Amino acid sequence: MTAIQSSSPILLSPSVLESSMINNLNTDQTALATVENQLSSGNAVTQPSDNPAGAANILQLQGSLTRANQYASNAANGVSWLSLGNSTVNSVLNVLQSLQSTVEGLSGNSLTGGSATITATQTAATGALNQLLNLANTTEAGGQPIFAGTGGGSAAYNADGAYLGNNTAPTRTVAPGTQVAIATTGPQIFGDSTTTAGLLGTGSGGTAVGVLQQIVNDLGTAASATTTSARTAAISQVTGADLQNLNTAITTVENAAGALGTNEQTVQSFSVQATNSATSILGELSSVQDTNVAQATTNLQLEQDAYQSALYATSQLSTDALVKYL
Amino acid sequence: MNLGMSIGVSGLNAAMTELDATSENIANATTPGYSSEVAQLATLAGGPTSSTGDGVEVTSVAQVTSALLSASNLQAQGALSNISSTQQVLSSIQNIFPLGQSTASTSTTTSSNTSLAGELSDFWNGWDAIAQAPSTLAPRTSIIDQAQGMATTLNEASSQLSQLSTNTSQDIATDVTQVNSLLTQAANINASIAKGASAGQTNNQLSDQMSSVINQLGALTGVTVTSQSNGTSLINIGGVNVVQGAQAATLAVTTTGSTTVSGSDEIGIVAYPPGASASTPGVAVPVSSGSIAGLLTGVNSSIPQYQNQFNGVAQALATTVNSQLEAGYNTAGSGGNLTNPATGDYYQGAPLFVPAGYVAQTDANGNPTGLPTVTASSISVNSTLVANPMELAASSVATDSANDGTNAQNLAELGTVSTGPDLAYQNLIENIGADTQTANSQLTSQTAVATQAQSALQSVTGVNQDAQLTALMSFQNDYQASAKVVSTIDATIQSLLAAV
Repeated sequence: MTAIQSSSPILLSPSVLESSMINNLNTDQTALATVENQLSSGNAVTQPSDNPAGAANILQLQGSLTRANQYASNAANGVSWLSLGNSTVNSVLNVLQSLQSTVEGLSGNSLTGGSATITATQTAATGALNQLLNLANTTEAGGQPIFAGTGGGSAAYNADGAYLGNNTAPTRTVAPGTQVAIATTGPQIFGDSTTTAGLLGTGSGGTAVGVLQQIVNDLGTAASATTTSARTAAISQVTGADLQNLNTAITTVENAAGALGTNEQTVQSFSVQATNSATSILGELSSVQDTNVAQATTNLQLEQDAYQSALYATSQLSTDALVKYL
Repeated sequence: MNLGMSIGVSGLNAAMTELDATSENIANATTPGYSSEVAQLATLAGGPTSSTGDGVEVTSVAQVTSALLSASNLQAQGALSNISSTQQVLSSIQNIFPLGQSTASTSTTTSSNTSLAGELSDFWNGWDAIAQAPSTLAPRTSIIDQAQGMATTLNEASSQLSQLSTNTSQDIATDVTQVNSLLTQAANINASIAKGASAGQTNNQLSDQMSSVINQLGALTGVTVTSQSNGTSLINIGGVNVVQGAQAATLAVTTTGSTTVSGSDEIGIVAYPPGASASTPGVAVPVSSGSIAGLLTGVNSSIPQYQNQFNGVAQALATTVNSQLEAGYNTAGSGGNLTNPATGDYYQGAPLFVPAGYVAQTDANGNPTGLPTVTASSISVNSTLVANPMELAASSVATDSANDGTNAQNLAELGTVSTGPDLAYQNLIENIGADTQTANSQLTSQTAVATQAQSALQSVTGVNQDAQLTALMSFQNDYQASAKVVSTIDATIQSLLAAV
């Protein structure tokens, strides 16, 4: 009996063997399940305790990624506003330039051609005024007038040519903390018809008489003139000071068109930048988040081997005992 | 000659007792708390005329024990139960805050997240959608929906934390009931041992029972045991004697009078001395080991800590969003009723996140005042804004700015501010991850320590079947040899008788 007391340090009893086998099996099974989970979900970090700093990093990167995609969407929205603005301003230029050439052609034959030419020119000028009013009230897909700034309701100008919006251009956030204007306010192109004469004022409803209305009015004077000298004076007013004002207005619109074009390019480059940044964040995210398949597959093999060995050892526990040989 | 016969019989008796002890050992190889038995043999001194001695006698059947190994095993098992309970509570907390990630798709540059973090990202982006069309209802309705979704997520997680706290407290109560039953058993065993001792007996079976009870107690509360001279055990938890002789104290769960970081009542364990009425104040028992200690840590420290931190996330969300809304103006396109008659300006923005049952407060000019305080359990969406999403303060201008979305744009950028909810939530995830990870690795190492301690104890006091079987064969030989002695002497006597 003394054999038990003085024996070598570890004499295993069945309960110790059993509990240590169970422990080993559990450990192996957990490790195996972890690797299987990594492979099947594709995520290296499935719960915060797998990698606490990585988990926080994943959340942060996912936030940045979502945000970058929103910047791209904001920029795309901005580009659509700016390209609409650009094409509208180009139409405005076309209308004005066509009127300009009509008015320039007036001087030669208006004296001899009589009132028909004058009336035709007047009709063209009135038409141009209406066209410009329509163009000035262009709305984007959502129904917001693009030249009304951030104010106003459904229109930028009323029928009298009075500006209804405000002087703040809407902006879009295209990068962290970076906002770019996505439109030009009406007064920068058409004038507001109250403090400046502008293009659209009709002279009624409290508005000043605008450049186009002035041409229409002066041509009206010429058409209804009873004396040649009065007609000549009115015509020279149109081809002189009025044409001069029209040219100035065209320059203003050209400048606005240039500015819009530049802005469109800027926003477009921000859009590309946002998309690039989303791609690079995604790369970073996948390096933290995604399972390294090669490594996980190797680990799976190792864990399976370990588990099988443990199972084998457990199965031998009861068979290999002295009692078998007695 | 007759002496030889009686020596042979003493050998037979001794071998029989040894065989009995070995049989008992093999039968109890897996009995919890069993210590292997050894028959203690001594030479039987011969009388004055005998020079050979009178054979062998069994002085006692002793248990193989090791006070040191028992104590260290008890301590290791208590520590294991402690860390195991702590780890369970932390894992449960962690499960309340899932990462919510989907597999990152490489084909598109998007990755969705279903957790609060993902909801926050979508929420911030929603403000840019409002900025793109400030006078339309749809993006505003969707931000109200997102806000309500987040409020629900916060409410639910908070109530899961409370539920976890309740469940953990119930586990403690169950454990305490079990401890009380074990303490009574220990006191009863002590009484039997004391009775036997006064009659001059020792009872190995009672010691085995006591050691099984003590092991169970150790796993529940961590106990220290002192053996008394009469063989009884003095059981002590955290410096408070709970079993002394035949007397057992009763433990109970009570509030300690302190409050936790989240403001809830801290709970603790008190002992009522035997016979004391439950109305007298108990003796506080500082439980620092066993599963009860781990559960107490969970209820008093881990859960309140995360409740507190989670409330911080809710408060950061409310403060960040509400203060930015207050800086903006309420410029609903439908508007006349939204302007302040005194100044003609639009009203400042009303808070979006308010505690449940919030009553709007305004100053003399009709502008909202005071940022409401919320918790994760109380946070909800302002019913005024739910009824009319156009009242969300998307504009930064007091006048004439129906299509101004500047304030909405500012709100959209708040996902990265250092005092914002996103960072607070990321910190929470990192903390619970780190705490759980630490507990996991502590559990792994403590499991190894406990297994080691148990192996060490079992290698001394436990039953190794191979060794017992070897001993069995040896005792069988002893018995057969002694029987041979008896038969040899018998034959000798027979031959002598025949010769006469």
